[in-house]
Amino acid sequence: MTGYDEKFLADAAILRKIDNMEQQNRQTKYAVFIKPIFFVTILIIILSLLSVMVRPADNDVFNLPNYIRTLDNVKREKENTIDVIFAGDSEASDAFSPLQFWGEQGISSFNIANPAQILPDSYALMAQIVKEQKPKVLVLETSCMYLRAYIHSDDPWLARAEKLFPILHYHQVYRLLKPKNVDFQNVEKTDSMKGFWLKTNIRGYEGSMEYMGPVDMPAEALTADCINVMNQFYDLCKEHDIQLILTTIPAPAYWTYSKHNGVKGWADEHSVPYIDMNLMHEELQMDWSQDTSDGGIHLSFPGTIKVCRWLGQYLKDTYQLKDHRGDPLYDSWKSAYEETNLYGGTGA
Amino acid sequence: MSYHSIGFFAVFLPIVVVLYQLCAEKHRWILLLAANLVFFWLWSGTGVVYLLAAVVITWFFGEKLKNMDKPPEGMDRKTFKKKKKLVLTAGILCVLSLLVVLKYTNFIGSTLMGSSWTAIKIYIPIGISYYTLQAIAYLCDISSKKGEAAPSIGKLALFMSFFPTICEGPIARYGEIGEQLQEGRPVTYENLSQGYQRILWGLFKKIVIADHLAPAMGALYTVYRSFGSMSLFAMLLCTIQIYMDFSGTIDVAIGAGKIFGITMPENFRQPFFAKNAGDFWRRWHMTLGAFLRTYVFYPVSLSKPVNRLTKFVKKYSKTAARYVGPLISLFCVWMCSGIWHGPSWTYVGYGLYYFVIIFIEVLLEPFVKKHINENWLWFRIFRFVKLCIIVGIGELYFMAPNAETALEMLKSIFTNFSASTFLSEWTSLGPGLSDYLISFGSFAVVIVISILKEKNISIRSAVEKLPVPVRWTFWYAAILIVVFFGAYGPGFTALDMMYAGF
Repeated sequence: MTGYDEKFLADAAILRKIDNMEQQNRQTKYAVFIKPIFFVTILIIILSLLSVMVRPADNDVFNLPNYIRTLDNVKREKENTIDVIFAGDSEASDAFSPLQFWGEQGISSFNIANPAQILPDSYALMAQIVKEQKPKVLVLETSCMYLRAYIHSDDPWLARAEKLFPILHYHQVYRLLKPKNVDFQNVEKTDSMKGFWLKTNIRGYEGSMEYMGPVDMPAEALTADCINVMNQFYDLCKEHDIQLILTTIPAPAYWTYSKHNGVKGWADEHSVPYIDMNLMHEELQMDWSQDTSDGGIHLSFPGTIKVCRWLGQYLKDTYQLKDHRGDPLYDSWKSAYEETNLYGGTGA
Repeated sequence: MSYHSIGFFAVFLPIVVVLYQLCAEKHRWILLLAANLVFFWLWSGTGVVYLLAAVVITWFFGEKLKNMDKPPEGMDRKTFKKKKKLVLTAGILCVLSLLVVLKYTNFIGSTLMGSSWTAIKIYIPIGISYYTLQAIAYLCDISSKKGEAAPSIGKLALFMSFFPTICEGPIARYGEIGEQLQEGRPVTYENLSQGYQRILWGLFKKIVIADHLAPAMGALYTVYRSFGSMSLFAMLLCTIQIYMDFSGTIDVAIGAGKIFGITMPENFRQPFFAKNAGDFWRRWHMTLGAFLRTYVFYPVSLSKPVNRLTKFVKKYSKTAARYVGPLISLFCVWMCSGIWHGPSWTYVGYGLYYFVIIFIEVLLEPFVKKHINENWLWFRIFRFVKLCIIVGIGELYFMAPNAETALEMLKSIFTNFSASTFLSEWTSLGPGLSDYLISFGSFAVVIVISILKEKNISIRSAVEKLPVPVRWTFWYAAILIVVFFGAYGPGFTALDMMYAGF
């Protein structure tokens, strides 16, 4: 034949076979990833499309269901009828009752606070609200200044993924599909509580009345994220000629001079009025056996009556807010006042 | 980095898979070992030192036992056996001492010294309860020649620290996965897809079912603990939560192993289809059950003191003598099981609860077999309800902050039961109506799949036979269910895996 012996040829054939197998192996080594890459690519496209669908048009928010529900409620009010907006977390949503302000001072207000609502969400709501309303005053309850002030998850990898695919952040949109929200017959009806979360339970505070600690306690620093959003609030209010007021409701089991000093630092720096009701017990005539719903963090209904009575009068006197009672443009407050019958009277 | 976090299954795991595949076959085990250590470091930081210490101790005693193959010249068999037993005991005690010191010092101190004991702050590394059991099983298997020793300390470390199993098990024996880990089999498309499908199933159980229910537990064990109807609801919720949390995490672990071609032992086998509590524990946390059966139950049953006691009792009553062995062995098994779960008397009580139940079952077994047709439908229904009550009480007790709370809740079921309390309060526990709908609806899916599995019908195999477009659509839909209905992100607190704490 060619001079090569049989054994050599056999060896060569084996070598070639091994070579082929190695090559094949090298191919399969990478080939295993081809289908998964294709699968993942389609998944990325699906997630991206869904992200586009669920992402709010203007602002990113932390709690989408709360944001949409609240904004929807505010949008049901007639344009330019809200004079005062209350914002914050549960301390604010449980405390400020627009119906009481209506009944006592005739102030048209709306509470956009929600439990655990973080500052960026309050800001996002406010940024939308000023497009249809011209509020004169924004009362921001300060407890939320010590909550997180960033919208993404604490898990750094999840936070990255949420930025990449907002559907992972806004996946709870299904919560908006509750029967209440798809009740088309009532779509024009306004929120009868105007954002106030009525709490009927009472659990007294039994601790010391010296809970604020020494006046000169070192200030609890606000986070950079918080300061950033607060500055945005300040600019927004300035741009729309809204008076920003910081308020802390009395919360003996939560508030301290340390937090007070932290908030006051920012308020002084920006010449924003700051009312800490923790320093006004006598003026407000608080009775801590009755005025808190959970042992000193949130107000009970009797507590909110005292706080709103003082605050309503203060707002009316200081910012010359009009009494809209009797004006048909503000009928939604009148009818809500009568419908809920929380405070008695007609609200006219 | 927990198994259900996106950082694990979408970042860490894919990176390890790609690097593993690119690596030469003979070096793949080194890459896996490195991945194990990185994973452990990311989770537990310096806790990796304790893991390495356990590996060194296990290796040292493992080598000693391996070399004690037969008695050296001049030594009789009895002395040699004794010496081997001594080495094994020393090895087990050394490995256990790490666990005891780190996990049980305060428990022992407070038990012995009462309130005068000042609690010491001790760092408990993650996974120590799991790798300690693996180490004990490894030493016992070498000693009894039922298993091989690892060829090198690195390969032993690879087995003891395998990242999918390190936090919650399954508690695999060296003979089950040791060789598979070292082989460095290439990743195949089948293993990759089946592994991720199992991970997806685990995520569904963990973040769609268990984590939606978790927020209710705080209120149920505090505010509502004296309301019977709420306690009954707590029993249902905590049973579903533990089952879905633990079995979901195990699914993720087994799926992750599958990707590397490693078949790990199963930890759950449709536990609620069990005939009784004993059978339940052969289907629930199966690897712990197998460990306790192999390394506690049989050795105690066959030990000389138990044999002597059995003989002694036999003199007086043959029937009673039949139960001496099982009684002592079961007691030891359930004490170990209780203590293993954590340094608390609540867990000891949990173990003893099952000891009593299972021993009663052992006593009643001859009567049931003789007088009752086990295939009778009404008996089967009774058996299922009885099992649910037994397990429900056990889990309610297991999850309670202390025994007093659990007993108060159980008492309330009989003394203060009002359906109206439940009807007015069940949505104010934390989870909303949509959370309950998602959880219970998804749990119904798990039940259906479990029924099919019990009948040897596999949904996954059926899906595999579908044409590619249909099959892929099915899996995209499954992924989107987890994406949409998972309890993660805004409004949810990230929850750890429950059994990682043990």
